[in-house]
Amino acid sequence: MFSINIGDENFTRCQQSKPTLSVCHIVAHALVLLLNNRPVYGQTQQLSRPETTETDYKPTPNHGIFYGSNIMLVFLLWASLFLSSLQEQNGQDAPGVLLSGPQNVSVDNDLKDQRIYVTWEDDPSSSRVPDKLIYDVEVLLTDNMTEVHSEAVDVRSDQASRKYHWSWTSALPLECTSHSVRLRSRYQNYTSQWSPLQTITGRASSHPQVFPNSSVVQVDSNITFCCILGPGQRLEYMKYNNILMNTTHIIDQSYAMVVHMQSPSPPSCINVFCNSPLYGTCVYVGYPPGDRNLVCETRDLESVRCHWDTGRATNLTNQRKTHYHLNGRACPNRTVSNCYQTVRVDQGERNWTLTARNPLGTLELRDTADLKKRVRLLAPTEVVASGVNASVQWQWERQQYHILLMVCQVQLNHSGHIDMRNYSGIGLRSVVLHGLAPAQTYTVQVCCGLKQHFWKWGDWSKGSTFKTKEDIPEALDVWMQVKANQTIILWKPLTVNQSHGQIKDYEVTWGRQKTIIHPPQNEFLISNRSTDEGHRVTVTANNSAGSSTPSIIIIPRLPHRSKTSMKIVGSDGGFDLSWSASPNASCGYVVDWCPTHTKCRLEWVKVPAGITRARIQSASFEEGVRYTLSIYACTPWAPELWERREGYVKECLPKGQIQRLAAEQHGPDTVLISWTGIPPENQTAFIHGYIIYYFDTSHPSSLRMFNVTTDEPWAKNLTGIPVSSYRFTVKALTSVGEGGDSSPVFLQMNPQTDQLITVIIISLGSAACLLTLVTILCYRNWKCVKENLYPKIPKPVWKEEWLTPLEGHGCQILYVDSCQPSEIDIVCNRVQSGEAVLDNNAGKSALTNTNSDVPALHGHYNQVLSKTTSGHFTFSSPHAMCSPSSQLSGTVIQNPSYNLEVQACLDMGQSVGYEPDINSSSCPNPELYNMSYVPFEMDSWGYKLQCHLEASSPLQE
Amino acid sequence: MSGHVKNMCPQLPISQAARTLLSLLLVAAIDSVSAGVVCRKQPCGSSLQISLKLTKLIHKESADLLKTYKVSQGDMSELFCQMSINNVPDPNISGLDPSERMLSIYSHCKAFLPHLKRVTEQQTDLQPPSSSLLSKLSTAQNRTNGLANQINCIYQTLFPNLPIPPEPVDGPTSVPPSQNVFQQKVYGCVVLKRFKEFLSRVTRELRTLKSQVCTRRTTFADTNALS
Repeated sequence: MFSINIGDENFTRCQQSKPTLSVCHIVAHALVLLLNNRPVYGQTQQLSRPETTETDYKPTPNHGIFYGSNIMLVFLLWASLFLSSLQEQNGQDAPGVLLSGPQNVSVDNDLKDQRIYVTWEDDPSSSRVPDKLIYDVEVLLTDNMTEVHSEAVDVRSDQASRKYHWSWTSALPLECTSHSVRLRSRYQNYTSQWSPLQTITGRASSHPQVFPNSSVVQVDSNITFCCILGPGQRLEYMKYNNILMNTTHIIDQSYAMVVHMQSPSPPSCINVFCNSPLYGTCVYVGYPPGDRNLVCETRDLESVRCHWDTGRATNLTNQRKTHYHLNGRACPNRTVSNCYQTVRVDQGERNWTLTARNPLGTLELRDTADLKKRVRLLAPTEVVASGVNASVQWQWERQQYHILLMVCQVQLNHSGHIDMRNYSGIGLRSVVLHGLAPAQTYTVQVCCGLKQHFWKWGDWSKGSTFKTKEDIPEALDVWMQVKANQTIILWKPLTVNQSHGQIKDYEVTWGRQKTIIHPPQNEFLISNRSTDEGHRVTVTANNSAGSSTPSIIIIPRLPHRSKTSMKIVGSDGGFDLSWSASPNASCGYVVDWCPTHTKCRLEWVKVPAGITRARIQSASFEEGVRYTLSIYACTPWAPELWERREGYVKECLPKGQIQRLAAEQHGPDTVLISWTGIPPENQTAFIHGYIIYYFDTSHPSSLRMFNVTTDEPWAKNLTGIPVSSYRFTVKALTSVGEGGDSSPVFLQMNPQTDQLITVIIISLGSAACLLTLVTILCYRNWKCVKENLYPKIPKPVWKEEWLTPLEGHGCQILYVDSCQPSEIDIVCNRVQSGEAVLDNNAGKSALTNTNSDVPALHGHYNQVLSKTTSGHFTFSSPHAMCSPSSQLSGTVIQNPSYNLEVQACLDMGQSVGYEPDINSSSCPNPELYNMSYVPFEMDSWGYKLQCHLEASSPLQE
Repeated sequence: MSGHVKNMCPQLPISQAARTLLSLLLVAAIDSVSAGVVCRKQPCGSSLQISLKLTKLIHKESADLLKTYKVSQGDMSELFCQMSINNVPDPNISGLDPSERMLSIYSHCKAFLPHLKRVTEQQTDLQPPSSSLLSKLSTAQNRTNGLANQINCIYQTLFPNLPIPPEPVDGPTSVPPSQNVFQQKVYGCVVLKRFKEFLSRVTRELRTLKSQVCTRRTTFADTNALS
């Protein structure tokens, strides 16, 4: 595996390399020999035999030679002293001549730990060194003499043993390459020669090998693996845990890689190999022992039992797991957290040392204890409890316990309720338990500890179960429930703690009648309350131990007066009820409750006198159910109903649905909404009102709402609703929100056409009546009207000379001067039937009448009244048509329009050069009848003059 | 052979000393031949059928065992089984005639046993005590031992006059010397892989034997009796 080269190479080198020092050596050796009375060659023998020590040395027969050459040695001594003084003067290391270096150097190694051990003996010259001597140690890679470690080791000269040990752990496995070690001694500036190289040969192989082999390393440390290849082989890869790693060439066929161990390895270790999966190694990664908290005690007063916490898991198993020793004695192989050893416990206080060791380290835990003060008793055995007198007995397995003053815990478990009782005594083995409930099952366990020097409680015994005797039941809690002519006597079934045994039956005494009721029935119906003696009812419960105290209740002679219920709001699953004090409540109150709208069995609670509030809680309470709570005053006679409440433990959104929602149009903008409310039994909360939601279906965003209080009937008129199509829903409003949504109802509103027609007819009728009335009034006052509307037109005054008959033509000349101006515009009008002809021919405008009969002309004048297209009333008048007002009566016509019209006519007449020429007047040419005035525009007044002349005269016809 | 001895008993006029001597010889003879195996005379098909079923069971379990083994050895364990190791028994069944092949099966069973034991020992140091691998390895050993006994019985039944050599006919394969943990992993994987292959071949062989040998049992028996 390795070799250690031992020889006197240093000496040889000294002679060859430094001839000046050879004298030094000789002198030094001579000096030593003189001082020690030894021959010179004795040292040489010692080098060749390292095991020889100074104390083993024996003088040899060659001593005679020494004495023979004594003179020569003295000479040499003086000579050397002389030379040495010369060397000191020259600044050389003359004292180095005195250091012969370490002796008997030997090197050993531990491949598993990668550790090199070096042992040597003291430099013979160290005894003359007054101060400490230093040894320089160097570790080299043999192949290239590269230094891998160097260290200076201090050595005290006064050490008794002259043999020194030094060790060093190599990061690189020692198999990877050869390592050499050399030493030298040093004192101040003087050093000895290096000792010969001691070499540890590396591993050579014909196939790839990986080192270190199956090593164990600590988590979070670095480890160097090396791959040694066979001759001529080339490194292909190195893998750690199937991960390709970077490698470093060490020398020749050796390669290395450094891996950081981040986490513990599995029990099967982590695979490392190079070139081939056939050759590799495995590495275990874990932690050193982490045990702590060592505590030692005794259980049986014959042995020590130490236990500890294992701390962090080492992750090392099997051969690599932690091994424990207690005070130098190995613990059982499977020891994990406690170690047991037989010892004497009467040795007083002593140290207990636990050594935990695994490949990664050693840990020592210590505890100091007097075992007699650390007694943890074993569990009592054979624990027996008697059901008659409730005594508990047990036994101790160890006789030593019988003399111990101990304190014991007796644990009683009754339906999960734990009762702990302490007893003490010497060697305690029995106790009597008092205060146990009758007819109850108990489980008893016992554990004990020392009363003096109490250390810890011992182990609990196994449980022992027993049952106590029965006793008479407690009095029943009796109440009544009145229904019409029936009264139900109710009582609460007794709990296990109240019954004190198995209830066999109940006895109900009512007057002289006695009835036996068997469980589980716990009520009794009294249907006839007519007899006086029947109002007092007594109920008792019976078990094997006897009857309970009678419970009495007096049934009221008359039904309770009805009371108005007040609303109450529940909280936290119950009701916080308070009421006013009743002067009759001499023995307190009774509060009973039941769902308002469903049949039930009453529940009740009795409240002591003087208290007027109670928290009503029941497992049967349900959310969204209305309860009626009745408060009775307890009196010496029958209970009196005092107050009543109604409420919900918790109100919920209505689950029932509002039914029968209907919408009906009433009037043009009124809708009647009607619905059926949620029945009381379906109400899950108090309903504070209803909300009507509606919106125009053509505009869904136009949602509107209308609140309806519960005071109002379940119907509502909505007014001011425009005619359209609507969707209506109704919701109930409660304290918890809206709910009980009805199904939506749609309504298409129609406009009220009949009414419109009626209005029109009425309007028309009214107008007709008014017209008739006006007509009648006008008829009766026709004269007046006529005078106002048609003032009498004075007859024209005829002058004889002017009104001369026309000869030949039969025409008469109308004197314009005599024409009375009228308020009514006289414009050109159509001459109907050719009675008047306007002759506008070429300046010869003349009003001519085809008839010579003037009255006829007047008659027409008075009658023709028509409306022109422009809205002006026009009279077809000969005056209008023919009067030359421009000349004759310009001031007569007051109205500008009249003026205009007339002016227009006049203009027209002027434009055509009209001149009243009586003489030239002639009967109109029949051809002119077909002439018509073409309307023309007026400049400033905007009037459209329309002169339309049609040939409608009889002549034309 | 036991039957052979039994037939001898009533034929000898025996004294007390001779009776004692004969008893000792009888016990020695039984021990030397069957090594404690008690073979019941069963029909050929029944015995082979049992062996065949047992082989199938072990083969199925060996596949599971190999899978568990690979999982328990860490990464790259799949490569371990592909390595070649000389000291592990060869899975091939040798021989020309049925008797030789039966004998080869028996020998292989016996040869695999120490290797399975060694693998179990090696894995005991690697796996936690609760590991299923250890229990499966232990089961494999027991079943292989039982299969070897079954084959022995069949061989004795079919070929009563042919002795079973004490050493494996294919030559002994010694368990490897001390190995490092890595080599143990490789070795175990190769052993289990070959063991599985061997059982596969045994299954085929027994199926063939059942179809061939049992139908001609009389002929073989006669032949062996004559030889």
